[in-house]
Amino acid sequence: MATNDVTVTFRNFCVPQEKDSTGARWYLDSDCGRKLSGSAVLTGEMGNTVVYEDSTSSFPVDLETGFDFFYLKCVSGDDIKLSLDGGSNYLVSLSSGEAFASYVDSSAADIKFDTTGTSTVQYLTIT
Amino acid sequence: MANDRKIQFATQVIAKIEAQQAATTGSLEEYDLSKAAYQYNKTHTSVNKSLGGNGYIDVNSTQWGDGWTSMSVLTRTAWEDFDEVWNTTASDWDIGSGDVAISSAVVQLSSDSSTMAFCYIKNTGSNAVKITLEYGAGSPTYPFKLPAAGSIQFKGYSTNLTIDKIGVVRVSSDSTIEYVIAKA
Repeated sequence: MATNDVTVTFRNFCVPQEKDSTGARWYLDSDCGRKLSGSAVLTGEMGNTVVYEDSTSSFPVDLETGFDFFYLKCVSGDDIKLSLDGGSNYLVSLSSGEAFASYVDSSAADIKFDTTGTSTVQYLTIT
Repeated sequence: MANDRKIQFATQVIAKIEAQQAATTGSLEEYDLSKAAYQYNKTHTSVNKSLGGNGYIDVNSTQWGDGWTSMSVLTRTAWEDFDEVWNTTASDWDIGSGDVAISSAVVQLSSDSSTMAFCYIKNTGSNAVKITLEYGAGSPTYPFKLPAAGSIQFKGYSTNLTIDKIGVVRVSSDSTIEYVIAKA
């Protein structure tokens, strides 16, 4: 690596849970049986251009294509809807406090997101 | 049928930048304090913090089928499903880890057309895979890539995304995944 090269570590963690028959307590879902997590470090797969917005409340945000990594968090307010085809179809949703992150195909992911009411978001792109 | 189901989830992102620590010089009476220059990673100066979020989602207590998690899709978990001759190589007797093979043919995670509430996919193999949310379309795009050991998770928006639209294919070499895909 050279000075100024960017790396990103991203991890997701989820725990499917099931309530017992008495309705008294949540357990690890018996169909899954464990907590799930995956973590990866992207080094050298991306360029070094980082754009970070800590607080944005003006929508829609149309980032279009050209990114290698994308992160979005709904910081507060109403749900955020995310499109990967420039706004024709909104397929992914984020509620307040939730975040989404992915290594993306720079030519296929045409990113646009909008609020369903009034929201504040935080986002990061790496190109 | 479960009494009730929910999924808790969290995402964390740390962006770093390579920096160089300049060489230091100097000495004490008994020690040499000099150090050569070296490279190190620090939190990216445009971000300056770890990013992330968490939440949970209530999903249907009666899921669309046993295959809603790859861990329960193992088809030989019921005694009556075993059809392997006892004295052959015991491929079916090992119920495995729940990994699903990913090769050059797109794998549709399910043909169920219920509204998708939540999806988690991890690349458990050694090679990158890519994901479409348009399985069955004429020319589906693959906006998400998963490097080895990487994972992705997302909630569906409204009723716009159905379970049968999620597909996974290799980028260049075969790999494996595990997944959870739950209906609303």
